[in-house]
Amino acid sequence: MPPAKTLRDAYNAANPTEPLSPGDPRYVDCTDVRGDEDTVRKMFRIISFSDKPTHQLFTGHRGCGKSTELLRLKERLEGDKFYVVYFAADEDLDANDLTYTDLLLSVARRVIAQTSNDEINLGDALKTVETWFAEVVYEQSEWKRVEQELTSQAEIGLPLPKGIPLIGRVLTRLTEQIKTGDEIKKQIRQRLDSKIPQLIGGLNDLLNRADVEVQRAGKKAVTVIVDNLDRVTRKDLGDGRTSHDALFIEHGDQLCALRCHTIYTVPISMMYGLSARDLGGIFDRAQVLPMIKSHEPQVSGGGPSPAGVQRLRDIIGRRIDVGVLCEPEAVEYFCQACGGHPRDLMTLVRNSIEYVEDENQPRPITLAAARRAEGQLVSAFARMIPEDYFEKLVAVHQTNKIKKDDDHQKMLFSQSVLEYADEPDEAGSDTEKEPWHDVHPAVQKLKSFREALNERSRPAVES
Amino acid sequence: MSVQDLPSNPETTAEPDDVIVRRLARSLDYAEGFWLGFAKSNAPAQRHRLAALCKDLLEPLKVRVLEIELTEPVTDLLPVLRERLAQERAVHADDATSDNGSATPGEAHATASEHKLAIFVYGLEHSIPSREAYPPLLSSLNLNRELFRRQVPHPLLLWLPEYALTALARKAPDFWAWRSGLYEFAPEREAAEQSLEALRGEAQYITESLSEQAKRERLVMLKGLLDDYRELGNGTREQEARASILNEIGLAHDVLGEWTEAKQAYGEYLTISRNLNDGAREAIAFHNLGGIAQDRGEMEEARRLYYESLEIEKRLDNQSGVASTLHNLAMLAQNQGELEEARRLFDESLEIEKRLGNQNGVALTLGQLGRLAEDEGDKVAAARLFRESLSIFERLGSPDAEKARRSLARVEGESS
Repeated sequence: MPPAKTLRDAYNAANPTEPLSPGDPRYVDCTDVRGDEDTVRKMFRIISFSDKPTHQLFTGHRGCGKSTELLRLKERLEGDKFYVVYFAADEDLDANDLTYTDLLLSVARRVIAQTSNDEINLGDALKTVETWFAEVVYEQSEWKRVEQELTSQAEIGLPLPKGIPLIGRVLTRLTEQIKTGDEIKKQIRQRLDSKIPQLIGGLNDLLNRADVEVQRAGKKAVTVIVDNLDRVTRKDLGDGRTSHDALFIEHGDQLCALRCHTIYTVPISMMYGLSARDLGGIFDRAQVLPMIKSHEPQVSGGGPSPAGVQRLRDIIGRRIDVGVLCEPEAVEYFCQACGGHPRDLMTLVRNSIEYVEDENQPRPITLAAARRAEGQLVSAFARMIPEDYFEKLVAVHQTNKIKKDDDHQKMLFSQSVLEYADEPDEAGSDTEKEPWHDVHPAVQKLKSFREALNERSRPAVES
Repeated sequence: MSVQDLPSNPETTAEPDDVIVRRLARSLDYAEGFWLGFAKSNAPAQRHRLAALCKDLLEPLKVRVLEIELTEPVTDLLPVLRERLAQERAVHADDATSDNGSATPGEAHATASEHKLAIFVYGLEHSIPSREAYPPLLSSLNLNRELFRRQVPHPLLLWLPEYALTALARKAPDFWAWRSGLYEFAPEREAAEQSLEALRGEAQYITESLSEQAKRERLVMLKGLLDDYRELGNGTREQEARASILNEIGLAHDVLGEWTEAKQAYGEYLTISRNLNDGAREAIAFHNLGGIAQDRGEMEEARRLYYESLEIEKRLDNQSGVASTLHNLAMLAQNQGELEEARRLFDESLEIEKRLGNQNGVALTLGQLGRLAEDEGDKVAAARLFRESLSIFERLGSPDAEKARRSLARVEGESS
């Protein structure tokens, strides 16, 4: 798809809702301006260098390109002959009420479905799990009924394609029941909860068998990537716990007990909770995809960051013909106003087209249009931020640091605070630099922020 | 140019409605596939006028608008959209076949399929009550946004009042992040003032006699109007308007049994009244807060609040306020079995009501005196008082007549 030359095409080229597929010509490699950590390469290396299963976390702001990077990782792993099972958690599960047992069942379901689809026979391992489910989750009479029902459904070809083993269909049915039914969900979870070690044991038998079989087919280890787990609703469970803590910390060990490589996405706010340290002890690695560095931190003087701005320009340029459609000042304005956030960049470009005054003039996307588009983004943020946050936001802006507390987690969650990373000091150096934080430029434009900024004197800086 | 050096943005410059509508029409014309936008307008009448304006602009651009008006709460929008889209397709398939006689099949088909379909949804605010921490609708929007993209390949514009849109932005952040456009229409002072006038002209029993659903609808309307006045400024006029609306909101919550929300609304009403140095309103606030305390069984608190109210009313020589607060204090005494005290207070209240010629007040107090007589076992006096009260209510055409009639039937049935 060549860069758009008309406003109509440009409007559709700048779509904030569509992740890029691997190999899309519009993809711009932003590694060097995201702390020079090629997240895909790092995650790939951890998997490919280890002879034991690894368990990694992956996170970043919503709309910063996580799904795009995970799809790239999948492609890279497959290119190296790994057997990758990728799925979006929210397709199988109710992200509003998701427990680790649901997640384990969903992993099993996906592995069985994909292997059977690829004609990889898991043999008696399937039978073992099946027998276990027949005894634990169902009672004998119930099991007969379920078995009959699912078998007859398979015979008439509904609702699943033929060839999926019975246990695969049982798991599909279970996960769907968990997703939709309140009563049955409680029942299933109760029955499973006391038997978790056996469930994991059974799943691991399956995964071991799958490993053997995929290797026989000339592949390497099974790798499961679970995308969109960061969309699990953040609920306060009392005692300072959240639904996120329950899933990733209290039951992190269980998630890491699976005998296959796993990558789970987590909400970025988890990395800054009081329990972030625990998280590091449970998982092999937590990888953050930062924003594109559009500017320098305030503590080192601020100002635009040329390399980052260039990448943002490239992102626009791959989608629309800026020479035909944009005033150069408008492009510069977009790059600063988005704060290095790719989705916000798309939203700004798209909105600016609404504000074009004369569709027929050369370079119709003017600086004025860009500024009005920014106004819309500012207005959207105005709705999201409670008034009592502004003082804390000013502190983040002036120190480029965030505190590990609930309010700052919420600021990350709402993207009023963004995370950035500097490039390492020297090439090849493995010492990792601390990420830094800043307030989204659109938030800095809010009247309440400016008022709070004036009220706060500058902190003393050590020389 | 660094972020800090960017000149401040004219974020607050209001765009005229017709400019916003033109912007919206351009986006709806350009957009391919799923597209999500939000339009903020607090008043239903304004929404419909603006939507009509937008449809006029879209017609020559070959964009047809499917309007969905939700009058009841929903937990998920997606099934609603799917159903309406299926209906829409069925209707247009019918059109194409029934037109076969008059026009060539090709032509008839062309008109329906040439037009792009955009969807406007109104009334989602019914599903976003502010008292719920996690309204199910917002969870489902947030979690199912992928499904919207796949199952609703059309521009989708959600019309919401200020408070509901803010709740959506905070509680469905993933869905909100997918917006392509935000269209914030400024409130229309004239329309807001008309609504307020109508509100002030209504008698209190209007709210009490509504059905549960109608009460909820009234709340939605009141909150929209409150948002309008918040945006219109913070002068005395706007503050007075907000106070009147808050009192109505408190009353609506009160009659729905939602005391926490009612207390909060009356509390805000009290704050504004104090700001305005408006004693009359302050007295009303104490009176209504006292009513809530009484409903919750906090009798001492209720008494304290009523006396606060009474003191101000006496100071301002607000006779009708004094009468009505005395009436409530009397009921409080009656409920606690202090019948002598109750009678004294009712009599005092009745005397003022008579002097003022407040027929409704007279009838209410006579009715309560009837109850008191009934409590004391004096059926003859009770019947006389209920009869007197009933005849006034009947003359006024008040819905309270029914209650008086029942009371009368009760004591007459027992005494015969």
